[in-house]
Amino acid sequence: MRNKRLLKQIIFVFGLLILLLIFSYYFEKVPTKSKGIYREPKNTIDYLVIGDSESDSSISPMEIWKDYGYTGYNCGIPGQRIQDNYFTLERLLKKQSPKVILMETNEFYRDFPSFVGLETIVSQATKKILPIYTNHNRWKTLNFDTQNNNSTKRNSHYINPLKGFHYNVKVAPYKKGPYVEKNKMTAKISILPLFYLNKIVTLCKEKHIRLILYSAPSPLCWSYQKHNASAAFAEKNKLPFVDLNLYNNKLGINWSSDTKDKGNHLNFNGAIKVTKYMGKYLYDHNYLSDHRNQKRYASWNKALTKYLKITSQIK
Amino acid sequence: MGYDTILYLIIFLPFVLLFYQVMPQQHRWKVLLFASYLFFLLISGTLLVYLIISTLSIYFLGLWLSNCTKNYNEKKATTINKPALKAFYTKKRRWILWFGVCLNIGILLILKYSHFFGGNINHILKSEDSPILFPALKYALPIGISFYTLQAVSYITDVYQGKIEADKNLGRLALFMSFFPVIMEGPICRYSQTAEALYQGKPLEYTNISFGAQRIIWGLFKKLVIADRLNLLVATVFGRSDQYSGIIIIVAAACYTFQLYMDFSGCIDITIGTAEMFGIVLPENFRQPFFSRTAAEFWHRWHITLGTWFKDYIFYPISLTKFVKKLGKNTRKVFGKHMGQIIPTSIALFGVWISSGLWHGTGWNYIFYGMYYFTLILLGNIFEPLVQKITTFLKINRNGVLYRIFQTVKMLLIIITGELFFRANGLKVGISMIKSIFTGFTWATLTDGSILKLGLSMKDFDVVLIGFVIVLVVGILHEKEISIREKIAGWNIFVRWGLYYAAILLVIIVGAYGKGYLPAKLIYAGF
Repeated sequence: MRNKRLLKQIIFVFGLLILLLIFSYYFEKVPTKSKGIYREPKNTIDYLVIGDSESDSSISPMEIWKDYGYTGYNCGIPGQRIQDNYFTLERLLKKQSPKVILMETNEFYRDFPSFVGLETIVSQATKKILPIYTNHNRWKTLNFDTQNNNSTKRNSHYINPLKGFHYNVKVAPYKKGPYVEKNKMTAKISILPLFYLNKIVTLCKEKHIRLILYSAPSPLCWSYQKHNASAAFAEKNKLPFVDLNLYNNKLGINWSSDTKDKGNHLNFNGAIKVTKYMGKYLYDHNYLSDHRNQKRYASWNKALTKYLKITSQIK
Repeated sequence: MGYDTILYLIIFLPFVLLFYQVMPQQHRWKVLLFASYLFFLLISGTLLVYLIISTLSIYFLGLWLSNCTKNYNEKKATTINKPALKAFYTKKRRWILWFGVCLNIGILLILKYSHFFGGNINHILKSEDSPILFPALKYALPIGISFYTLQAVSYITDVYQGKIEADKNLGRLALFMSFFPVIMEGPICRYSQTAEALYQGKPLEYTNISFGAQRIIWGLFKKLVIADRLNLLVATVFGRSDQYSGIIIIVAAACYTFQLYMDFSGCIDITIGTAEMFGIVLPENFRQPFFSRTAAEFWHRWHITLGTWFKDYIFYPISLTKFVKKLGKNTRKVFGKHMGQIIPTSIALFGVWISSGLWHGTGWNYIFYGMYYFTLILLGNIFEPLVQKITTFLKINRNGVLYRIFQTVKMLLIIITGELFFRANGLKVGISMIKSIFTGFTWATLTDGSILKLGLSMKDFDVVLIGFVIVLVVGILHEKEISIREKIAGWNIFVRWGLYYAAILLVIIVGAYGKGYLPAKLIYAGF
């Protein structure tokens, strides 16, 4: 009797696994309303910007397209943990082949408990084995009339004018004066963030992607200790590191008008200055090619017109 | 590690079940204890020290109380001055009890409330130009401190009152205090309810595993499909409440009320289901609370274990003090029987509701929340004879369907109003939101698409509505004391399994997690 019940339980679980695999297969085929960078056509992005809110408020890819014709996407997510960044990047690189990744350094110092790390690993592993966990939201776009599938047509006409950039014109001045005080102390990059940071470095090497570390100007989030730690990591891994906090004057950052939240993040005024600098950096180092006259990238010129209207640079 | 995560459901719980079953019976409690401490360590790390302090304190103080009783009984037989001996030991035992209560509640007060009270004291000191300020430090809180502290106090009090014997087995007591399914959000258990069952090490049984798993799936349905879906709209509106008004505030408050119920009761279903898998029966924490007709009834149906704890350890002790008893006697002489009962009761009620408000959080909105229900229950008690007279005069049948519907709807509105303050980012914001309901009210909001711009699509609303209907139907069946799981257990195996598969797939496919949704932590785990 006991063995019979145990067998029933095993058969039930086995049946459930089969059902989950079937649904995983089926949901992979369901057209999706992809968001963000996943809506960009395959292998069209030259560079990515990754990090937390310091990255999504500091670099506007359409400015770089306007000046140099490089296609980029800002994948910064507020509060992002470096572990999530790694898994997102892993997924992204299946669809895109950027030559450069600009990685903002603030998230290096965002530690997380080991169980959170463990949860993410288990969750990611489950999603790999049973993609239904990733694609389950596609139930919203389930269309049983397969002849009426417009998703491919939708993607080819897709125009995203901001390319992930968080556009914000609010002004809330930072008034506490100079904040760059040189010292020899080093902030600590905790074990788990460092582990995933190293994984990102390795992933970029494997995919032949140039990884460039940068720190966006931020009196509230940045410190010289963090600069020293980021610089040491960059040196150890032979990575370029651009700390824009040391170039406030060169960039022309005005803390009375260039921050939206009293020195935590840049607003659009500040982002323009940082983006111009990083765009020139990419140009001077000759990492990327100009696509402005290429037919394949025509939608970017359309996106630029929309972008300039949104940001009030044209009427 | 929340109870609704893959790590808990697919890795942690199955491994604990496996190790539990393969262990010899006399060692199974150790598996539960190890798992509980590991669970606590993973979430709160070195803050485990507070749980250990709490456990050790009630262990030693419980034995001390027990020793005092034993010594008193030995000396009673031979002593001449029995009243003096009794007074001595009563006083001693009372001091031990108060030391234990103050130590445990003190740790909770310092860790949880010093920042709030310190901040408020400093506000007053600053306004008086005081040169000295209170150190309003903010401490990291160990998971479940608000829950296990109440369990600790209930243990030491029950030993003092002679309801239970002090436990000589530290391991058993430690397991009672730390049992992993209840540590985050309760239910708040009494020692006599669970300690022995936890220690017994009963083997796993098919029915328990099956029923427990069903209860977990039901909890996941409420949490992942309904609560976490509503979180999108609630976070949008309450996060920027100054940008919304009128019907949107009402919708957000209603959504939060249902989100809170689905989140908390869903989590409790998961914890009770988990315990059930090990053959342990935990007390129920909800009994269809939205069917309540009065505020008092609501708190007999919502967070039941907290209500009974407050009743047993705050309400009755205050009511039975000499002062309150004397007050009752005097007020009866002056104000008559009805008010003579209300006035002393209101003192005990005040103690309960100020404690309840503070227990839920550190903020004036939580204190307001406690006082809100104190006022409602007190007014309900005061005006009960008047309401009785009016309904009799108007020939209204208070047990009739229409009257019951009226009371239920009225109570629902009261609950939603209370929850608005509970969720608001402070008391001032709550008041402002209430005002904006009236200043920005327009019926056009219902039809102009504004509600669909708050984070939830039409399909999301459909899911919430269907989920709500399912929960309502289940609630009605439970109200009639029909056990759905037992009914289903009698069905044909193919139908049964089909239903189970459908339920699991529904949770996985329609659950509000992943891209496009806000990660939603267990709400009550934050208290």
